Amino acid sequence: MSHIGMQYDNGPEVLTDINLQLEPGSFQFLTGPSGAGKTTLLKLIYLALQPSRGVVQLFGREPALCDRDEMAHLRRKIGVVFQGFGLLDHLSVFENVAVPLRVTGRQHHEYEDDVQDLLRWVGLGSVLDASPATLSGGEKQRVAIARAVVAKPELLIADEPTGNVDPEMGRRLMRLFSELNRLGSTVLIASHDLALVRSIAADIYTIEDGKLSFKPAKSARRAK
Amino acid sequence: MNTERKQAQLLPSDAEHDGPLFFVIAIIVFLASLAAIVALLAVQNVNHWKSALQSEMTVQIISGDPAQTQAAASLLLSISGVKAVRVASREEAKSLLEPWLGADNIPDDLPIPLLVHIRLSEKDPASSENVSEALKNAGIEASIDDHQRWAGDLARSSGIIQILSITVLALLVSASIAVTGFATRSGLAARKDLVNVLHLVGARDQVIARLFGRRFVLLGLKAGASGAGLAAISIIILMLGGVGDASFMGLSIQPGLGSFLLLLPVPVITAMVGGWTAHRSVLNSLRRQV
Repeated sequence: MSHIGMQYDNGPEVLTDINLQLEPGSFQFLTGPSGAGKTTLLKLIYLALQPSRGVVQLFGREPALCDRDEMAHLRRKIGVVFQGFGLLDHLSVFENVAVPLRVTGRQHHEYEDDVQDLLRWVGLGSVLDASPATLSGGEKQRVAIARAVVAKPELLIADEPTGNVDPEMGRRLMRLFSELNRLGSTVLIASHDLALVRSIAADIYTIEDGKLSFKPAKSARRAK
Repeated sequence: MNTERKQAQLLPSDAEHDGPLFFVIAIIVFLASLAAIVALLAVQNVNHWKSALQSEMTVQIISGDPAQTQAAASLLLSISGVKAVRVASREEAKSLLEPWLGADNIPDDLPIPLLVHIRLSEKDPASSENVSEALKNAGIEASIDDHQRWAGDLARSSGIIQILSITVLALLVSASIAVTGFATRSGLAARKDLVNVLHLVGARDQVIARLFGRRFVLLGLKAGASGAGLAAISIIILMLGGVGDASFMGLSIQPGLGSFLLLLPVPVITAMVGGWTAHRSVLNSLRRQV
């Protein structure tokens, strides 16, 4: 991201002159107080918003110059764990996780085993056919994470992924993200939980008053 | 492996909105079907009149002399392009005056022109000019009515009915498109969360549009079948009620097999219009998003 500025309609600029580069295979945190602009920045990265100014480049492409089909292909390379989960209550847990595969035209028999294995791996093997509405916050979080990673995204973005879970579940989820990073995904996690951020040696981006600052992993570890 | 797991629809059914929409589309289809049938009957009537009127001519013998009328009939039969002639009796001619003078008010000594009906050959029919010239050469004073003016009037009124029916049909189809478009946009707004998720996990616009399009194809099929079915029942009631010989603005209303055949493709057309409209509406809405 180069010199990104963002404002909603004619409101004040919520992000100012943002420069950000995510190295492939890296693990990064985005932190800052509530309302600082973390979610807006993530939305710009996962292509839910377009910046008011500046240039975004993703996987070697400039989304602003892509047509809508190309944008869809770029989005398939990104897995997102939304702050509010974004689960669909009319679908079962299994079907929610399978949505990213279904919309790309994959057939049920092609992904059934993979989805079941993934859900067992995140500890939800017993609730495959349950409606998300019947799950606890932590379980919903894990369904959202499973959906984000099921298509093996090149970039995984999680917005406050431990915000609704107890500390133990938070640690387990962080181990899951680390494992995914080890398998090759670039991981970017937004959190205002400083204890969580310090628990992993990772680059830390801090956003405050719409401005971004960077602390590399080495100094982050030293701080820990 | 659980092979029994059934795939749920990504777009859930929306009975709350679909119910009223079903009724609105079914009523529109019913009215559109009736308009189409009226247009069809108008076309059939015009064709029938044209063929009937083009094959006939009426010659009025001004003198009213029966002998001259018979001579004229013989002469007319000899003209090339005349298939048959029939002399109308004085009583028949009198009956034509009854609507104006009354049945008992026509005195016996009133000079009434006699009529000769001519049936023309289908191939190379005689023209009114030929007939007029032949009678003039034989010294018979006559007036010839080839029904063209009357046929023109009827064709014009039938044309107006056709245009009105087609206009009503076009308006109803437009209303159907507008209602479906509105319902789709409303459905899209109601399912904003679903659309957002699909969008962000990489669903192409066409995939999302197809979900809504498919739903409106099914709805259109059901509503179209109901509306057309209702129209078919109305026709059957008209036929059973003996309306077959009735007429409306000069049109004889004789719904038959053609009317039922006209209704057959209506559900499919309604489904296609519904599906296409929903598909386009979703694509247009999505294009306004990032």
